[in-house]
Amino acid sequence: MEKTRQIDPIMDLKEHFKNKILEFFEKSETRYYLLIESKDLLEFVDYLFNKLNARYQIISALDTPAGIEIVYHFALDNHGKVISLRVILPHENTQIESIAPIITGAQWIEREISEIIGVKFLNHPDPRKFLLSDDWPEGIHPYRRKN
Amino acid sequence: MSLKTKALLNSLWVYHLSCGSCNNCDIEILDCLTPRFDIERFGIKLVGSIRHADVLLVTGIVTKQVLPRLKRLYEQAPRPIVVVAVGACPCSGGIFAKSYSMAGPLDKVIPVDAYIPGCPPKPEAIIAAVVKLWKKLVK
Amino acid sequence: MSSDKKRTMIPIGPYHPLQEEPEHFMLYVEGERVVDIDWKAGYNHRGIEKLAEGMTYDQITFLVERICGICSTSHPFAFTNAVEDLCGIDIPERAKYIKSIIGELERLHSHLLWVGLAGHFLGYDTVWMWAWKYREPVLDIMEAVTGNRNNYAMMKPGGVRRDIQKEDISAIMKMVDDLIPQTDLLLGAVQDDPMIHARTKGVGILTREQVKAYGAVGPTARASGVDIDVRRDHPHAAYNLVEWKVITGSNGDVYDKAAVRLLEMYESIKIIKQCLERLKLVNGPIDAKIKEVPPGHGLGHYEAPRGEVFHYIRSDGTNSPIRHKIRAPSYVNVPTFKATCIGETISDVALILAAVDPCYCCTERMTVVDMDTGKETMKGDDLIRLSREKTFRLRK
Repeated sequence: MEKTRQIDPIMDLKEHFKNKILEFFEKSETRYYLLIESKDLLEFVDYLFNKLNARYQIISALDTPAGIEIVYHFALDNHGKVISLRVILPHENTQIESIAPIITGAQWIEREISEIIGVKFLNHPDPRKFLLSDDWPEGIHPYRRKN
Repeated sequence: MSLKTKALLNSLWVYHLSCGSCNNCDIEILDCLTPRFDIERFGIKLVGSIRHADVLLVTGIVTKQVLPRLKRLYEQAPRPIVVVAVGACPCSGGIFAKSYSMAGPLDKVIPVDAYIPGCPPKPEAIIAAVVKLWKKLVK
Repeated sequence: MSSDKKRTMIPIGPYHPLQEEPEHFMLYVEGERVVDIDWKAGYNHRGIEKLAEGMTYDQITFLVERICGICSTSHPFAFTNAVEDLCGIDIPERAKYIKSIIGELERLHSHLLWVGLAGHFLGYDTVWMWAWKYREPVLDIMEAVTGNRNNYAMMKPGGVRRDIQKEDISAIMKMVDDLIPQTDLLLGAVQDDPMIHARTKGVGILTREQVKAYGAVGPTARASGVDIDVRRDHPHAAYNLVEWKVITGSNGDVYDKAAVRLLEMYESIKIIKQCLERLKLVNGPIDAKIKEVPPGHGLGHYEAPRGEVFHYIRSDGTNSPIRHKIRAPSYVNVPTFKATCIGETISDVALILAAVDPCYCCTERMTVVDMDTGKETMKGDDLIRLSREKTFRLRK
């Protein structure tokens, strides 16, 4: 199957979102990291997933000194690239819109992140416990840093 | 019929339980049934219910989630039951020993009669261990 | 999940004989039809990502190998890709061929394993025994080349740990060549048997839209006609240095999922043979020494037998990652059960579940949510028995 190269999805993304991309980092020809604000998340996800037809891969979450960072990974299989959207949530307010209404497949990982790092996903269709044992103490998030 | 009698009559029924494993040991156990190893010719049979088992083969580290269910299953096992830890995980936790999810090793939860180390142990090792155990039972 | 209609709830797992891992599905049925499915994870959760934070990059390859026994080398493959991405390095040519050979050998043994299990679920125990018997020579080669039947410890950041000796090349060639008639046999069994057609065609259909919505990958996605494969789309190792093609189906049913796996085996054999030929000609090191790991992002993926395996690392420039995210293919494939099981009959469920080739230990398994909505009438082994009985009935 030939790779379709009619539009350059990276240029398209940059054009469309201009000043909503806080930081654009091209690590290599195949790896892109875009820092964005949480309020713009759904718009970016919708554009990537539905307009650019990117494939949803997974969401990563990590606790950093700047806040809880959530990274949304999308593959552009026709172009051999992976685009990762980064959002940083302040420690005092770790909540963000769920992307599950747009991407059904995101349900599990959001439930998992909620448990292991303590983030609230607003409007999640099914926010139940997922991975940690039934007797796991409430409020203890194993992937939070101790400081 | 006592376990010793059963062993003497050449039939040992084995129940296999995974308590949070990577599945390698589980596959090697099942491999024992396949033509190259063919453990059934020794009269060793895998059974689908703990209530029919003479031997309990356990793999995995024993995660916190599995713990209550493991205990319950052990209670349901007929007596006498022989417990075998297959692989590094139930023996010691293996490479996962420091995990926050670890509730094992196995002998912390239930009494263990035999340990088969390996990651995973080869089918030959599993069969050798079961035969060794068998001989011990017969004595 | 309550309703006025009388619903029966059937738990599958956590322990039933042929699904080796503890997982727990809850099937909600009305009569014979499945109306909903739920699952609970956690039985296999070993906190691996956390353990990785306490290990060096080199040690982590041993850890991630043990995430899943069947796709054991897939995780180190993707992880080392991630570290190499982080460091911005390319690995030596010999290493590329060796990585692909080991990866494809694993694909062969994994697909054979799956064919065996599917055969068992269908009531064809001879298929099970044959498939697992043919699997043994693959494991023998692995043992000869790497030292272990499973958990090969071959991949390291920068390349591979062991070389494939020129003297061993012909033995490996012969073994994969011998697999061709055996694969022909298994493929023929699937293609020519009206019973298998009756049990698998039109069953457990996953549409292209559903593949996209769930982010499904691997044979599960390709069977639905979605043409994606990390080896071709995001070239790495030797995959863009040899000739091979991606196999797709069109209907997304259990039949297509089986056919895609079997046909892929021929492509794996092609890749292995071409890589072995190149190894005869290409000399040089098998690893690139990595002296320093810079801070930043590392993202690596690989097409495991079940689909894309994804590893993402965040580095602060030290010897250990500050975060290591691992996503196995089953994490996105298993949820498709919601789309493929609902509306189907209970005697088909065991097969539909197996068709995704769920590697639960990759996914931290599903568990049951304790819900008391109806009576418990059956267990997991009953579902397998039902599946086998259906084949028997259809035969008459």
